[in-house]
Amino acid sequence: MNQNYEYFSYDDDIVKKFLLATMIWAGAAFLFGLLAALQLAYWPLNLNSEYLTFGRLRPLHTNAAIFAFAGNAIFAGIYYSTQRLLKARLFSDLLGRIHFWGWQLIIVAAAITLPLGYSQSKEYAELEWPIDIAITLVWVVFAINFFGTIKKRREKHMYVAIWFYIATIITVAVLHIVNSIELPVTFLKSYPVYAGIQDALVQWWYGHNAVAFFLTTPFLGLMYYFMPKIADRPVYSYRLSIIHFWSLVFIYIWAGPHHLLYTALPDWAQTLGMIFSLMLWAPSWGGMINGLLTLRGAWHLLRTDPLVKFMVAAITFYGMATFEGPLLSIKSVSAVGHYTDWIIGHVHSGALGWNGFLSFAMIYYLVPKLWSTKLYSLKLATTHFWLGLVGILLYYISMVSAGITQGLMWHAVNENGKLVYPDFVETVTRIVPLYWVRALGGVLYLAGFILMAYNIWKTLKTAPKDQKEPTYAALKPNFESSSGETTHKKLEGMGLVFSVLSFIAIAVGSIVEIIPTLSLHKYVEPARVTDPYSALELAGRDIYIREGCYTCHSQMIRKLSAEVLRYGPASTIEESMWDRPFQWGSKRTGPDLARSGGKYPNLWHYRHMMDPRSTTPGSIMPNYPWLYTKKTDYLVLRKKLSVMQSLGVPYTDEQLAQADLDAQKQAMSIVEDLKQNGVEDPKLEEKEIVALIAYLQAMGKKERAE
Amino acid sequence: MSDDKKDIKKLEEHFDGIIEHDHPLPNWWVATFVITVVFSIFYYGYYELLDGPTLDQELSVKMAEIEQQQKDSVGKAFDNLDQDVLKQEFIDKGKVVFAEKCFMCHGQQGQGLIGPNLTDNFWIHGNTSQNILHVIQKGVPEKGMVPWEAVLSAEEQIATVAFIKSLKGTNPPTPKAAEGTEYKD
Ligand code: HEC
Ligand code: HEC
Repeated sequence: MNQNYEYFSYDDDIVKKFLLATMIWAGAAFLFGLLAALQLAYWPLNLNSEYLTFGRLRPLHTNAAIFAFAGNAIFAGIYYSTQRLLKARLFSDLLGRIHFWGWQLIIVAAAITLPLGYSQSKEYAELEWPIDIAITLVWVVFAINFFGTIKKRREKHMYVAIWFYIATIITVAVLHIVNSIELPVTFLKSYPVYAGIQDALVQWWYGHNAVAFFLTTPFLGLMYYFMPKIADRPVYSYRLSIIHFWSLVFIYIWAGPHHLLYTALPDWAQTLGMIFSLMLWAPSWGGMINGLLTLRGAWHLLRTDPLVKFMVAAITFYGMATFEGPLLSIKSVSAVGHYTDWIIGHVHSGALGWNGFLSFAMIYYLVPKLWSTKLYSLKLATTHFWLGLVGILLYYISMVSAGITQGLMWHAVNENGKLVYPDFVETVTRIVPLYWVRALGGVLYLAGFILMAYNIWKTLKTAPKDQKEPTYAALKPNFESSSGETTHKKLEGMGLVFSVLSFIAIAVGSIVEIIPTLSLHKYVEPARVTDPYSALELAGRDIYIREGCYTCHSQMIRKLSAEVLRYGPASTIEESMWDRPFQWGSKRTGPDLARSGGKYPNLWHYRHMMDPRSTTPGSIMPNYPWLYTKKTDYLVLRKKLSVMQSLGVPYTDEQLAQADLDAQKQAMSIVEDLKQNGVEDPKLEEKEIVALIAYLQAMGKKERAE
Repeated sequence: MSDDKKDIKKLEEHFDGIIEHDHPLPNWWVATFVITVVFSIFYYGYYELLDGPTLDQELSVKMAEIEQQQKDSVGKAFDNLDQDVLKQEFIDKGKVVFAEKCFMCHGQQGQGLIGPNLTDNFWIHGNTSQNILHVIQKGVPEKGMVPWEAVLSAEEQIATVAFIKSLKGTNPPTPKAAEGTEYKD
């Protein structure tokens, strides 16, 4: 054999670990999702349990689906394909294990803290600050391991999949760190440095790009590796990959404000969000074209091979979702679609179709390869495919119908200038049947997954006992760039330069959008003074955050006539200028609460929170009996106010010093009122319900003209 | 190592054997891209740099229209209030509305709960049909009575007044203590 050959093997054990973790957490994520879906169809399934109530379960479901299921799948796929594409063993076996166990620990920490109510309430960034730090550290370990592998590669050029992995690792780090800057109050409670529109903008820059750089770019990378492998066909167009890669990473980062159309966010930022979403359509479809056309000349595989079926369906769902996304970003479409279940349908065609199916194809492909055996049953895999497909379609169609129905009902105004459906709960009961259809879709999808788990289990049992890591040989290439190469080809040989350019591509949009809003005062009218929350109201607000009320309620009346008719004047920048974190919400399963202060008497809230059906027949809101037994933590209020003060909220030192006393006084006055109206409940002033009522009565009441 | 070198797989192919073709970009794809970019430039220019309306301006135009519609429609619906509230059809309709929207605060039979008893001779805001209609329309937000003007149609408003008037003297069990002034009409 030639002297210049180098000998090496791949670390496939780490891939196996991540694959098994993917399977386990996928099951958990799907189960949580199904339970949450059933809770909306049938509210008693909230079980009157603090730990399983919808507001806490939903973040558990989204975190499990994104970071546990998709996350582990990404790591498995990246570690497997990167080693082979670069002809190099992972930089460090040890770092790989730290990455693996660190990530699983983070997931376990999330699975414990979220049901306990420790949440920052920022969607997909709910985890509290110690876990945020752990995520950062583990991500850095992953990055070192990945870039270290690039460094010691034996393949001169980096294949397109690697480009997508690079963009993923860099951008997720930036997103996570910037969005998680927060000041701790206690071990598991913190307030973000951003307030109001800043917090909203940073959060949705993060939230949207979590979809972009956690659920899209890594999966595109996986598609570029696994689609040609599974179909054994060449990729369609190299130059298309170049153009769609760079345009995708450059444009995606700008699109976040499309989550905030018609809100108090300044117009220019909203318009940027809309137009960059529109421009994202073609770059996204570039990926779809390259994926689907890889099959050209081999379409017959679609009939026979379940793996190809999964892949093609995944890419098709990607194409659908990335067409629907720009559509929903058009202002007038967003007016109807936003806050409704249409968005939930949109997300799930991406999550269940694109991420789910692509991961399933990858797992079916990898398990037999890694364990040197054959898949137990192709037939079962085909059945899995059909169950999953029907499941997604039921889910998608029911949620889009529910969303459009509800959106149109909210906005219907008759010729007398009145709302046609003024009663919010009427628009809820109308779509409950569709919630059942959605849940059925979830059952089918889960059933398909159970078949898969069985299939994989049986496959593993046939694996030979003693397996050796095979050894490979490759020549160390010459890394000098040769004159015949195009500029981009040269770039593909330069790991560092490529990474820096990717960073610049995502930095431009981030800087242009975020920096101006950091000087919030520019947008605040001095004449409109907003008082900060009283200590008791702040305590109540933190209960609202803990219970995840934002998963069903918005606090942002958009600049749309029907919303003004229903809820009152559109929300202003000033009203949320002290709000840390902001609570604008993203979905209205219940009505907007931005101006609910003073709308009802204290007694109404007292009875409503105990059992919403007692005041509003047909409501699907959960009961909150534990708020009537748990005690408000008055002592921590001084600390809370002082952290707020150091973040710039105008509390006086005197207010800090007697935060707990002030709060107790305010609680007494609410209790007096409740007593006069016949509530008999000893020590009521100590209970959390009183703090929550104080907050609910303060909503929309804090702004005064001066 | 040297013994089993024949087992060692030589990796000669690039990219784990994946081949990339280099087909030209589809024309329709390029066209889509260009159109969205050009449209976006014009859109941003019109709304943010030139004199396109702001969201606030769009909203106030729309609200002015709606307020005009509301004014035009007030019309004559309440002209015959005093006669209408005696009609059985209004009383029946009012009963349905009350059972949906009012019972949680005023009790199933109007005996009072969060809100006052509506079956006695005591009224906080007066006992005429006009008085009652006014409270229902405008509410008493600071005391927790919701304004219903935007929620109930004119006919439903009249019907609830009719139903409330019909409750007088029904003496339901567990009434709430009297509030307001006594009226002996
Ligand atoms: C599963 C979704 C859901 C969750 C979670 C939820 N709500 Fe609701 N909420 C609703 C629905 C639906 C309504 C409308 C029917 C009603 O009044 O109960 C509603 C109504 C309300 C109203 C009355 C608003 C109005 O203007 O009439 C208030 C106040 C309220 N919720 C507060 C809360 C608080 C506080 C929390 C968290 C502790 C919460 N909700 C959690 C669904 C939810
Ligand atoms: C959220 C609770 C609530 C609901 C719902 C409610 N009310 Fe009231 N209502 C009150 C309260 C509290 C008062 C007392 C206001 C005051 O003290 O000035 C009141 C007062 C009234 C009065 C005046 C009584 C008097 O003594 O002058 C009328 C009439 C009335 N309500 C009718 C209705 C009708 C009709 C509905 C349904 C369409 C309704 N209310 C729904 C809470 C409610």
